[in-house]
Amino acid sequence: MDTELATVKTKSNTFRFNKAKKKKCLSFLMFLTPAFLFYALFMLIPLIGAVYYSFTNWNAASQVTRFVGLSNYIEAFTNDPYFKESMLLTIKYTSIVVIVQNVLALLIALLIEYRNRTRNLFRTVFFMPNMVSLIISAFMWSFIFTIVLPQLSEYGLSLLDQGWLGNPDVAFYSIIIVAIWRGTGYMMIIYIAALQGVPVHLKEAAIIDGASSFQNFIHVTIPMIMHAITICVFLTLNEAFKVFDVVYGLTGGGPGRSTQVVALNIFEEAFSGNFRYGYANAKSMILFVIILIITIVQVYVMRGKEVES
Amino acid sequence: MKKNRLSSIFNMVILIAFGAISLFPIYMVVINSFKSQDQIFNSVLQLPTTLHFTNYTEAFSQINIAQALWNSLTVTGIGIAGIVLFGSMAGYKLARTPGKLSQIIFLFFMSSMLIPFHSIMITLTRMANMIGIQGSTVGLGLIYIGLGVSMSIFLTTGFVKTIPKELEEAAKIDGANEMQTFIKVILPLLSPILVTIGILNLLWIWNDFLLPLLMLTNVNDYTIILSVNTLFGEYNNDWPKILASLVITTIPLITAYVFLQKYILDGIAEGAVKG
Amino acid sequence: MKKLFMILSVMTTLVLIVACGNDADTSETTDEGANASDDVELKVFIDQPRFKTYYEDFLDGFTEYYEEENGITVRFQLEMPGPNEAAQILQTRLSSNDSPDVFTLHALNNIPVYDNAGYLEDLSDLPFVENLLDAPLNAVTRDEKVLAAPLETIYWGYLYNVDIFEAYDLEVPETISEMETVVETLNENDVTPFIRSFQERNIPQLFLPLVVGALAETEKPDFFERMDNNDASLKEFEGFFDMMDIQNQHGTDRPFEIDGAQGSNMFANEEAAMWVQGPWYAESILASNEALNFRVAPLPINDNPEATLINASVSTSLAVSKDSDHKDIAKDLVNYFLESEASNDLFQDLLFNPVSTNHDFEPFPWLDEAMEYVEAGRSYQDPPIPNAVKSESERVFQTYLAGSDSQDDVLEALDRTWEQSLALD
Repeated sequence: MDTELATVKTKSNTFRFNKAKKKKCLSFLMFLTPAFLFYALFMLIPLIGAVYYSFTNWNAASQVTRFVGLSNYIEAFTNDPYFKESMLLTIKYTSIVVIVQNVLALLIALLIEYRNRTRNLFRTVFFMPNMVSLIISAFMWSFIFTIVLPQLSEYGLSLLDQGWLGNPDVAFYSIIIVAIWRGTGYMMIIYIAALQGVPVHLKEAAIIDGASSFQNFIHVTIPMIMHAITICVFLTLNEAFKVFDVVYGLTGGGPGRSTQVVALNIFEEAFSGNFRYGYANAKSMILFVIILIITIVQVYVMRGKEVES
Repeated sequence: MKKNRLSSIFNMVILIAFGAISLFPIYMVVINSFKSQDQIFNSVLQLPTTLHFTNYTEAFSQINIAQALWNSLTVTGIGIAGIVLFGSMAGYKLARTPGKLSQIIFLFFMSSMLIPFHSIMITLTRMANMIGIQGSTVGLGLIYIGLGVSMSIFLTTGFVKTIPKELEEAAKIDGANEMQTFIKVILPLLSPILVTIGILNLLWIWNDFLLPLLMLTNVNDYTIILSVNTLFGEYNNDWPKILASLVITTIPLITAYVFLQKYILDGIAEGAVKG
Repeated sequence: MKKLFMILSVMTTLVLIVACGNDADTSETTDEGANASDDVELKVFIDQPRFKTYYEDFLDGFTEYYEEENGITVRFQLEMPGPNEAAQILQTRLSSNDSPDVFTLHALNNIPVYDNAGYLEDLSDLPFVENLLDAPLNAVTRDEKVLAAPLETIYWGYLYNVDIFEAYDLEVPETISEMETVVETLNENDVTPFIRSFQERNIPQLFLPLVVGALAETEKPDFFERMDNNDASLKEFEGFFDMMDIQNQHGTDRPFEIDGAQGSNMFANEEAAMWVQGPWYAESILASNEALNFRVAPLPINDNPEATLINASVSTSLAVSKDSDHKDIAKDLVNYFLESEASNDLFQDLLFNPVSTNHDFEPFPWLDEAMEYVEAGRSYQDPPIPNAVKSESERVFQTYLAGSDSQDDVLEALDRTWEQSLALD
């Protein structure tokens, strides 16, 4: 493979190569065009369109769309308290979910690692919630929060008697509970796979050295599964920042705007109230850039900590 | 020895506790879907004394389940087929064509994986409408190809690099053209990763809510998730029927999960680690 | 290679320009099509999925009728999204030139906006107009053009339980002071005065049309005109929150967990004496307790009995799209909704009030007192509050009722949204 590459490079000026190149081009196109076509139609063009419209006043009511320069962006940053609040709420939500979900998933993965006969059973059980669609999970939990938990509280568990969805201070955590309930199993599967990749001789060596199991975990296991941690944090970070379905199904962002996450804020800007598509597009661009920066930083920082194995 | 035993029991207890929490909501929904509204309000924890199958028959009559299932299958089927086929074609070619251009195209596809759906949803709706596929399940399936193909390219490219080139060359010598080689030689070799891609997309497309909500215009075209959502309308908040419909919606995937769990779980681990 | 890639990108750009260019000029060849083909498909959008089977049967009836009369087979693509999504879905369809041929809209809220945007076909020439009752006719008329056919008319204020009121010798309050007395008596007798069902955002929202409608009618008749000129503010209304506060202080527990369905269940089981809610919940109240004796009454807003008025509203109406390819058939359908024999049955099945002289059934018992008010001229037409302001009020009223926003915050937010909605065109 390498030698061929080398010859291609050295002979790149010859006629023979040009003919080969043409043929290669054709086959290249043949293989890439279908994917590219769909990608262009349903991803690329809408994206470019969204960027363009973010600079306009496009809305449902007026038939003329005007170019308004940066004013949408300026409004989002300076004159939209709801957007700012929803962004802060999303950041708070994301920090909690990313940490809890990964710690919990890793913990469960470690516990399962020690089981032999029941390992598969537990894996199956913990992943089960992932089979339920997000919006359906939200509906299921509405039932749990409004009917089941209040009744359960009568058995001396008065802690469970909360306004789970109705109390603005509690509703936020209810959403987190559902997100963690549904998302942890997925991360657990990835952690289990990573843990299985830790060579037994390394763990044994640590034990012979007399390392306690916690130190063993910190100094041997963690570095070995850093790759998986990077991925899981990346996935949860991404998911959490874009959270929509669960909130939509559980509280609709309410009561008031107390649980309005940023994706919901954008959605409502576009599809309710004044139907300001252009402005909503501008806000979604800001969300995009924020997610992009945060995930790039995260992957960059965490990659640096991974050990080559 | 003794200590080990103790910690093993402790470990088991924690796992069972977490496991119970994990299954509790599903269990609650299932047992209550067989109760009357009164029973739900008075004794939600008890097992049903009599089975109210009427909840199910009513839910069935409210949403045309057979039609909704078929719609979900159409959308998911088209989506997955396109994503797997076109994605693997592109991924294979990109992996086998070293050079700057391939790298750029690859990055170009990859960069889209970070785009929040909310950023394109408005213009995507307009686009679908322009080319006349809004409101059709087939059209919705096609849209999923566009949205999902990047991930598929990403995973196949990584996988193709582990396949030795000799096999293709052998096929070439036998006189097969490139497409034939791809279909006959490469695709079978790719099958483990294709299964992974299929599963990841199945979970996504089958369970997706917002895109079908924006794209499907006719009640008769609603996917199963959308059909259940309409049951939650303002005037229809009766739990027995809702719970029954939740169970009906969830059964197909849970069944698939029970039979295919090894592939699903391995597929997810695979999909992530390859990233 | 590069060349080919260039071609591809040029292609992409071309598609882009075609697709995303702001083409208001999609002048499709309107094929009135009646004679050309005898198989026509009409897209119908109705935002009342709870009545799905009734509407389906009704449309089947139309197909049969039309085939016999005109030899044209009309098939229907019926779209019935849930009430939470309906508005946004319709809006998306309309603004992306994918309008249904016939669609429901809220007469008072939507007609001005949609008419300005040029979505609505003039229906003035259709036979149903002749037979319309005055109140509904006014609601669907704009600039002397009839732009929609009214389906659901509503007379509302709040609901009260007649038996509880009689048990404690209570009169229906004419002023807010009288309302306070009623509340006091009920409290003394351990009867909760109000159902609070704030989980559904549009229920607390009801205060907006009630308060603004009554106050504008009695104190500031030019309010909406000035509002349209950016020369007014909701802060002008004194006592905007008085009635809301009374209800909130004397209501059932945990309001943010109670939705409309649960609220109607609680009202049916006599857990409270009053509920600020329209009679559109009558069906579900009676489903829980067939024997419940309740009436619709006008909500007092302040101490002026003149301001205690019934809100008369035409909510759901049918409009025909200006872009429809089958305008004639669509118009015939809309006319059929009010003029046919089936119309009478449909309106009764759906528990709608009569809107046309063709309708020969009695209104419902819970409306008899409200109708007396209306006949005595003690009503106002549901105020023309922009949709955006209404949906904003859903959010801010909830926040206020949960105790996190001040009254000023609420009114400022509403003023701001109102201003934005004006700035759109």
